[in-house]
Amino acid sequence: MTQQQEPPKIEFPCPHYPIKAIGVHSVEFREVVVRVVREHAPDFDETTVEVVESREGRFASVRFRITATGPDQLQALHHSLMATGHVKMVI
Amino acid sequence: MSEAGVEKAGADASHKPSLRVRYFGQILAYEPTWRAMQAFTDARDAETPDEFWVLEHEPVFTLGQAGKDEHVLNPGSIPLVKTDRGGQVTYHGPGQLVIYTLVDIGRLRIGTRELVSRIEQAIVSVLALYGIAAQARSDAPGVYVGERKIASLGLRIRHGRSYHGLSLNVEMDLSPFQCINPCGYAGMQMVQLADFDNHEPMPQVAARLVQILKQSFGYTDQIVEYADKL
Repeated sequence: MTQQQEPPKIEFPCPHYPIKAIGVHSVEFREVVVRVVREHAPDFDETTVEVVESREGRFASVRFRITATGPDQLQALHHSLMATGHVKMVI
Repeated sequence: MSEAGVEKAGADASHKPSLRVRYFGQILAYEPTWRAMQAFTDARDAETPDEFWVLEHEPVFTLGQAGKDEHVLNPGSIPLVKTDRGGQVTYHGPGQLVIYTLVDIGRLRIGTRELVSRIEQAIVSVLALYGIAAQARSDAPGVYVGERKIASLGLRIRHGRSYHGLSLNVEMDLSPFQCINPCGYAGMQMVQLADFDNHEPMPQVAARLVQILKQSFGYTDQIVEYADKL
């Protein structure tokens, strides 16, 4: 192939990488997510955490930003979040 | 989780094309998903929002309407389903992103060729985010990195409405593709996102591709749902 590779727009390490964990809204949901994120991203800045409730309030998304080091870290974080049983989906 | 994650439901949905995106948390069997797409397409009317279904399938070979049995060389223990999309034979399995595009193409005022081309270009755009130069081909649908295929397309249009959609190899076992001639081409090599150093896991890839497709089709309004089952 002679085609030039475009420069990547998403490259690791990627600072301020946004992640959203969605689950059933509960009092401990935020804390459960934050605890897991801290394990996978030690430099994680908790002031970036934001909780958004769904319209009818049954579900919530915890949004935060980390310095993403690569796909392996994101995959591991995803698995740990899902393993808590509180998280339905991570985007 | 039917009311989950409703992010934005516009008040003025009547004149602009709107979209419902359904993310499925479970790995889905092929046949019930296909039947559900058919049922949705048969039941929809002029007001029904278009839908994207975002999911992964259990391992399955599917044969399109143009598919010839001889292209399935050795299915082994993986089931083979004869389906009603266009195209030849392909493989779906965990780690492959599937997005079914249930679109009223008449309402969007695009033809089948334009639909195919927009889906292909959306896949090319998402791959470009990772610095991967991919392209569509005029002689065979799908998206390719060099000579190797990374994404497949198969669509069916019934009464001006499409179902089936795209599959993008993200991080999966590609070996079942060796049991078939993908899309009817002997010796077609497959490739996946995880073969490139710079990539993201499935959920992020899915969300980015949905976003690009959404812009390409011009939806102004969307409802997002996270579902465990069909």
